[in-house]
Amino acid sequence: MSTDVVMPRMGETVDEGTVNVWHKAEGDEVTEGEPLLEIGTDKVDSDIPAPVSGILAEIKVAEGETVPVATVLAVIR
Amino acid sequence: MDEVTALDLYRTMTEIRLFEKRAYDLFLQNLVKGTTHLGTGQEAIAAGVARAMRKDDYTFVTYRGHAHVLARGTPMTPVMAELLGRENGLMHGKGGSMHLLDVSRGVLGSYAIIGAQLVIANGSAWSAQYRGSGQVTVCFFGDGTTNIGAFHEALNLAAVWSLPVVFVCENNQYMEYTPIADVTAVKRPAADRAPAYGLSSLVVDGNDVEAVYGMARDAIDRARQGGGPSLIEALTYRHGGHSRADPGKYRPAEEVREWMARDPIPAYRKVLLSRGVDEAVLDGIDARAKEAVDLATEEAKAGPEPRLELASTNVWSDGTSGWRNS
Repeated sequence: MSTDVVMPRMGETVDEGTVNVWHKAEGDEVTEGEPLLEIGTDKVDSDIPAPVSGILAEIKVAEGETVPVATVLAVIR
Repeated sequence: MDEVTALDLYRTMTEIRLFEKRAYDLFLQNLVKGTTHLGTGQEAIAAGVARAMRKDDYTFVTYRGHAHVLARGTPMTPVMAELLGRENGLMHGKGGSMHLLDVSRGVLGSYAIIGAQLVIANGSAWSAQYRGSGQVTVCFFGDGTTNIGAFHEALNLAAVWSLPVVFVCENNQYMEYTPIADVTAVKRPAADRAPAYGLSSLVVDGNDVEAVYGMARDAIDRARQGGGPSLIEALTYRHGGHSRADPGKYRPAEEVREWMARDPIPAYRKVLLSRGVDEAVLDGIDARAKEAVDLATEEAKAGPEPRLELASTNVWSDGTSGWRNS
């Protein structure tokens, strides 16, 4: 089973976010709750925790890229 | 304290904790519509006060209100579905996290306007006094509210009319992103103001569920017997940020560490174990709480988006009493 990590809506009027830093690389093991990446918006910068434990199978959005809310950022298997 | 009550307090806190953790996960998956304000770390206040209330008593809460609604007995599924904006939500998915309401269980609303609920709580308390129903109103608010005019107006009127209302300040040390001490003239934002309205200064460890229960029970009993209002300040701490995925980085790391070490749930677990409660009993409560949250998540996710024709219901315009969340 795979789980998508998506860009959350960080504010009522915030429609997009930027991937600032990936704390993990593809192939890394991740534990539920540990910081996976940092995102940035015009409202706040925030660490996003891994939603589940598993292997970070795919990073779909590179550091520095800005994408709309709900965009899949990574897949954990 | 008897074991039935003690285990009930532990169960309520655990259910709230796991429910809110799930709400956070669902928010990050973009499934929660609108914002959320979690009270992780503050569960002892909701559990302790609700346990001291009579079934027909009234509750008023803030936008950080999931815990209080659950503690009054509203099932998890309609609350979770409301967060997800689904038709099987408490208000058919039209209110969201900040506006939970369950009239059938005495929860007369979650208020997003700071301080608004205190004056309205006086209204429900006055109604009970007028009807001689013996019902008590409990009104929750945060530390920031104590610097709002409505706080002072409500306390004054409640004292003048000796209303059966208990005001509970959940002092989690921060008004949004600002330390309450930076913007308040007194050390205890609620309790130090109580004497100005002829009330006692009541401060309780808001992370000690039995202490909260005891103080709430005394205040509620007093109100029910015609002894008038009380103002309780419960000292606590938000484990997370103000809202959404706010990381709360404006807080000193040492302060966060100190409060995390005073997490009310592991602390109470330790108390219960030291009294001889079987660990398997507590593990069983934990497991059942997790199952309940899993089930509520599935049922909430399975709910449909609200139908368009619901837009004009629950707002009086349909000319019925359909505003009640039946």
